[in-house]
Amino acid sequence: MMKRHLLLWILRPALSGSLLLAVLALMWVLFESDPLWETPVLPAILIFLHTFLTTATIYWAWGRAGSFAYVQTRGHLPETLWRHRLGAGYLTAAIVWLPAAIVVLSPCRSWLQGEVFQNPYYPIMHARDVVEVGRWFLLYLVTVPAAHYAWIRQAQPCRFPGTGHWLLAGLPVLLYTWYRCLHAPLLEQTLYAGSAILLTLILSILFLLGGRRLSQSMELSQS
Amino acid sequence: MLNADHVSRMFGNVPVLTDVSLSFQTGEITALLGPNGSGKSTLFRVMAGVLEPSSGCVHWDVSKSVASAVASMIDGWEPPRWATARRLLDLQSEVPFGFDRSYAEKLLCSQEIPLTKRYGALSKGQRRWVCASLTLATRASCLLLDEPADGLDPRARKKLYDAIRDVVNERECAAVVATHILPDIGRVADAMAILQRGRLVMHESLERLREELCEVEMARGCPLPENLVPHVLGHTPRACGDAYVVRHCGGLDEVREALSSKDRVQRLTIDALYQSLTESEMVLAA
Repeated sequence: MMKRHLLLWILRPALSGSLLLAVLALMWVLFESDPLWETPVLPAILIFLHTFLTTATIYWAWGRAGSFAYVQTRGHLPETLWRHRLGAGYLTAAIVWLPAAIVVLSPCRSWLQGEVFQNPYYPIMHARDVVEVGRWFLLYLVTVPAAHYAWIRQAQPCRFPGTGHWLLAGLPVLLYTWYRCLHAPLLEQTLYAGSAILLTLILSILFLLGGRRLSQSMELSQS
Repeated sequence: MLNADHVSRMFGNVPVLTDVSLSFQTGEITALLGPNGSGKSTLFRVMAGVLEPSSGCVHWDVSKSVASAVASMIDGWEPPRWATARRLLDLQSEVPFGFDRSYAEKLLCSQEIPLTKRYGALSKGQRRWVCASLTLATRASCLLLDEPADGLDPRARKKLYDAIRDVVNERECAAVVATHILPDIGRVADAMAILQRGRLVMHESLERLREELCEVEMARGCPLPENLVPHVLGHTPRACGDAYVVRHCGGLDEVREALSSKDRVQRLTIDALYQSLTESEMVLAA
């Protein structure tokens, strides 16, 4: 299904930026004194920046340099390349947030804040921090396919030129609103949380299907 | 068999390929020739499936998609400089149509290219050899090689063309080689296609061309015999008279019979044919 060397090849240009952001995310979860669910803006900004920069690097920087063109001419189907680009996007998300998530879940953060920094919120707030980790990954579930869809869309000649750029500009607003909705008090209840997860999955699948369809006819010169 | 049916390609309002129809047979090497900017690389990119034709289509037989049948080495689209030969072999080993890694290593070894050396640290000729080796070792049904011998020394060039011939014979695949090095074509190609200003001006078997094509030199002011006029492909004015490229199914002997003893007629070399077809007034007018 996934070809290891192709995936690593595509991932490579986005790797150094992701590692840098991983350190930032790690520092933030270790030293943020407020409970994580009370400071949702910073991770949202980090996730948006990371997703869109990674997507831009994978599609634009490599395409212009000609090296990605080399990969494209190896004989892989457009669908295979799209799948691996998307895989690389998810992998960078894991690189940035998995160490931070492990620190929260382990619970290193709770211990550091409670025992070392004598933070009165901890370890009581540990359980709510764990939920916040789930929200980051839920957001990634939508931002990665959305960014890929928007990028391919802006590279395609279509009936309404420029819609891709509007999408690229409008998606962060839409997705941030969605992310804030995930913090609504109602979502403490299982029924609402379940519906939110279901809606996230539907949104994600829609972007995946759209991106896959568009990538079939994507031209190298425009990527 | 790789087919291009009435392929046209525009970049903005500029036509780069116009109504090109070609088919490449398995077991055959076709040389694709043409002056710079004639559309060879664009045709390669369309055939490799990375550029969409503005009209027309490219297909492999009837069922297979082009991307899963064609391995290409396209000029200007090279591996990144940081990649070692080993990494390139790893990447190539995942292509859908299969890859003969030991053959690729053998080809690299024959030019003493170490697998651990970065692509950027190799010489121009060695880089070409690496790209050509990776393409030749794939088990694709069609190989597209854009300027594969560019920068290679004569010994390496001969080795490369021998390898292309071996691969085409053994694997029964089709190969298309774009090149400006005309003497190589006579040695390796079975057929020749010439592009001029985005149009296909000739696609023929080389053997047939050798038999049927000749150059007729007429003294100044002497018209060409009327029965030869329909067979003229090109015309180049020269200092001493006019030179015509004539194609006659009867070959050199029948052309000679139609001419007087003072007119000169000779077989065409590939070089002369190429010059005539890309420079002569008739082709340019067309």
